[in-house]
Amino acid sequence: MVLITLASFRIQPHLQESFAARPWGYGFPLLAVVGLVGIRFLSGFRGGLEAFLCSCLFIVGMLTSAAFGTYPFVLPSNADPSLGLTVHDSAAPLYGLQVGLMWFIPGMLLACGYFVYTYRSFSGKVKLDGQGHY
Amino acid sequence: METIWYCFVAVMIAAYVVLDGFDMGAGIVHLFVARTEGERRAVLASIGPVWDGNEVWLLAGGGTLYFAFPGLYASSFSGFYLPLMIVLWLLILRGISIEFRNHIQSLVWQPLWDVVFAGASALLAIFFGAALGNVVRGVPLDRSGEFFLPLWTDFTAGKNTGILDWYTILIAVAALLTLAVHGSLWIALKTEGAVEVRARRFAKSV
Repeated sequence: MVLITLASFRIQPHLQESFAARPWGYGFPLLAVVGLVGIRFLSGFRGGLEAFLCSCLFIVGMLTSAAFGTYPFVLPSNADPSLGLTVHDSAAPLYGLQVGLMWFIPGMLLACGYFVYTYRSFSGKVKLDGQGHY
Repeated sequence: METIWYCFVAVMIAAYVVLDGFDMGAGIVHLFVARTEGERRAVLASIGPVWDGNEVWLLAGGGTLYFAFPGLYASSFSGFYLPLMIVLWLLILRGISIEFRNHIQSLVWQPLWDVVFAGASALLAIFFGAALGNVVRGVPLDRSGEFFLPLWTDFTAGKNTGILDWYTILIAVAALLTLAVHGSLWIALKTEGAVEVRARRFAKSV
C-alpha cells in the first residue's frame, strides 16, 4: 500500500495538490488503512463477517482516495495537464442533470432495497442439498 | 451539480468493485481453497444467487456515466476500445463458466470450466486494476478530447506509454491480490469445514 501511494504521488502530481488543498480528504486513505489493519487482525477469527467488512472498507477507501485525488479531473492528460477532461467540461447540460436526479434517487432507493432483501434472503452458510443449480 | 453526479458515479463503481469483487476473488482462489467437486460446488453456491445481480452495478455505473458525463464516456470508450473488448469477453467467459460447468458430468468438462472461471476472474481483476492505474496516471488526450493507447509500448510511464506500464501493472497486481483476499474472506464467511479453513488461511497469508 505504501509502494502504491508513493508511486501514485510520483506519477500524478495532481494527487498531492488535491490532498493539500482539502486536507479533510485524508479521511479516505485513513478508511483504507483501518480496513487493512482490520483484515490483518480479524481474518483469523471464526465467523468472518467483521474481516469481510474490513475488506469492503479497504476497497472503498482506496477507490474513494483515487476519486478524491483526481477530482476535478475525470480523465487526466499525461501529455498536457490542461487537456485533461474535468467534471465540468465532460458533463451533460445542467437541465439534464437536474431532471436526472428525479429518477435516479428513487431508482437507487429501489435498487438498494432489493439489494438488502436479496442478501438477507441468502444470508448464512451455504448448504448443498443436491436440489439447487449448483 | 456535476460534482454530485461525480459522487454518484464513484459510489456506483465502488459498489460494483466491492460486490462483484468478491465474486471475482472467489473465482481467483477457488482452485486453491476448494479441491473436491463438492467443495467447488459450495464455492459456486456461495456466489450463485448474487453474482449476476452484482454485475448489474457495472452496467448501472456505465449507464450513469453515459448520462452524466457523455464527453468522458465517448472519449474513454473509444480510447480504451481494445481493453474494453477484452473485458467484455472475460465477463462472458466468467458467466458461461459458472452456468455451463454443471450441465455435463465429466472428468474433463467441469475442470475445464473451473480453469476458465479462475483465469477469467484473475484477468478481469488485472484489467480493472490496470484501468484504475490508467485513470490515475492519465492518458495522452489531444485537443479534441480523444486518445489512443496500445496495450503496451516500453513499459515506462512517459508520454508514449501504453495501457500497461510499470505503474498500471503495479496497480493491477495490487487489485489481483486485494480481490483474492476479498473473495477468500467471502468464501470463509459463507462456507464450512475444510474450505472455510483454507480460505481463511489464504486471506491471512496474502
